[in-house]
Amino acid sequence: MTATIATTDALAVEDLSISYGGGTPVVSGVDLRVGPGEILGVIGESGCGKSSIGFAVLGLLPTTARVDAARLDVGSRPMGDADEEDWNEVRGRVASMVFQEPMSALNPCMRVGAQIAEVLLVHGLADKKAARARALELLRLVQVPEPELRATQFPHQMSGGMRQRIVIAMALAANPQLLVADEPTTALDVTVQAQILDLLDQMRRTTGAGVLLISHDLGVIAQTCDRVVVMYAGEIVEEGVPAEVLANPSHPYTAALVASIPTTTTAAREDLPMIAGGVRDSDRATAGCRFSARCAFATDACAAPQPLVQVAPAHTARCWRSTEPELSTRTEVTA
Amino acid sequence: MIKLKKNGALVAGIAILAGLTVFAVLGPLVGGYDPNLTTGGPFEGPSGTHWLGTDNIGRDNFVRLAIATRYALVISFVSSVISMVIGTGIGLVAGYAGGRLDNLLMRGTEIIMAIPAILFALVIRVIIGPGFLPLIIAMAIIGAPGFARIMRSPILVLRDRDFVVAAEIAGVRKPWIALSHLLPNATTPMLVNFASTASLAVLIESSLSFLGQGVQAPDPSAGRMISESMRYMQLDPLLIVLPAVLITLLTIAWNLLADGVQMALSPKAGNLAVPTRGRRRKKTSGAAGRAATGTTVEAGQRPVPADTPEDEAAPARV
Repeated sequence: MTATIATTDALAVEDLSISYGGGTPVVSGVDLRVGPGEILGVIGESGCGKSSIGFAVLGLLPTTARVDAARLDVGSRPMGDADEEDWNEVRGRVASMVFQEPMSALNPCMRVGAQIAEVLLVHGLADKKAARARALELLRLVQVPEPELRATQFPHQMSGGMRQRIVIAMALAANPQLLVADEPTTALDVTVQAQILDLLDQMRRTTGAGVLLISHDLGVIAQTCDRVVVMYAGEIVEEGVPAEVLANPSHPYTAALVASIPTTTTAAREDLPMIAGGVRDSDRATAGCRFSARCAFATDACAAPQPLVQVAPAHTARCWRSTEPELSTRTEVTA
Repeated sequence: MIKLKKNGALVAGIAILAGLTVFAVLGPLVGGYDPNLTTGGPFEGPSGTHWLGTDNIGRDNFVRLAIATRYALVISFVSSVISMVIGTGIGLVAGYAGGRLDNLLMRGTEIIMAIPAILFALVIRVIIGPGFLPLIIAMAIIGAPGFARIMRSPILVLRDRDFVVAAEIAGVRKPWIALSHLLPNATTPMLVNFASTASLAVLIESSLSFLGQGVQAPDPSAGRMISESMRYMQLDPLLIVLPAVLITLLTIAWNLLADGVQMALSPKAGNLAVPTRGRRRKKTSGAAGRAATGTTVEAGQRPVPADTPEDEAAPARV
């Protein structure tokens, strides 16, 4: 396969907000940029809006969802006020998705070769013969052994890791510029997880596709991403290079997340630090810091709107105290 | 392959239907009489010339029964096929489209289901007139709502599954998604319901014929044979027993088939062959390899969503 390395951004989003049924926005003021061949990690706990973003950039949110953005460019196409027809042009071709559950992402009644070829056929990118050849090529690309045999098999004849490779092959079929991977390794065991992440890493190098990797697993993010965005209650609280962000978390939320990871030095019976409470709807509506209700470092000043503060080159955090040395080094969390 | 040894219902159902089909096709040729002509004396008992005797006006029972089987088989099969096509289509559209269209279609099927089947068939016969074709049309309409409802529930589960979303993301058109992604994953309830509907059709056809609104005289049909022979019940009970046995056999056969198909394709029944894994497949080649692949077709066609409640996929009992 001759990869055409795109020169435009895979994804450029500015001031994105999403709300359901006229309620409080679940995502607000989010800026994202995924360069060609770049992996951007989006991390956050359940309900912080990371999956909503993934669906929004593919135009897949239900009709009850309201999506507003100053800019929503997928590939180089402005999709800000695109209709269903426009999205059909983009989906699969310019942007595609890798799913969480490789079992349910494949049609159990269809041979995997045919499933991969279908993407090409529906977009008229290839005739039947060429599509079949391309399917084999893709299977080889995602390192499936014996592609000729595998192409004629059904999903239930394959292991979870193999199926996820097929899902990735399907997503790559039409050479998209953007790959949205929504927790692509959650359903896999750890060794297979490493293989799949490795594969994603290789794929973006060979195809030049940008990857929006959505995860709640800090390990996955640290291992794979070029940049990471930490979400909390629908907004970005910290952004930067994973090594830097995880080593020097500058937002109390990120610090608490990092502190809650067990390490090899954690004593056997010691309780892991955790973040008390959960995200409340009112947190999303507050003008000030949305984490302040659960934050050990909160003061009255946190009620004021918080801009993203530069803490280091290419490292920002949405906390006015983030430059205080005490905060970035301390990992103590509320009990 | 479906394990036939363990599936007595399927084997018995197929065997009875096959036997009746052979009887229906070859019976009149072997019997050698015209079913509608007097070829002997009235109320003759079984003999070398008339194997199952003759009826009140001396027509050969064997040949008449074979023709009746022919009618019953053709009407139940053809009307169920039409029901299946119409009903499955409605169920697919309703389940996949959802919303207002779903509501509209489902309320429509409920209206048809609310009317008693025999009454409905009689009304249609009055509107379209007597004959073979109106009979099939009437029964096709009666059977369709059942298919629509039975198809809709697996589709509701399937449409939210990732592979359907994946196909939508890939830009596959919705009608094609319905046919290539949804339908093949819901074939079990469809096939089971087909057999159930056919058994119901046998009953409705004989009921209508019994009332004189089904197959028209002088052609034989099980229901008509019973109604004509009622007056001579004490004189020659065989005249009633023969068509009654025919109706029973047909109904039992279709129902056994329904149970057998359900058992064969249900993942819980454990009747599926263990799919040959890739490692073992390597050694098989050529025809053997293809045969092995063929086995998986059946395996793949079980009602896939593990989260579908089994009752939902189970056939409606009639």
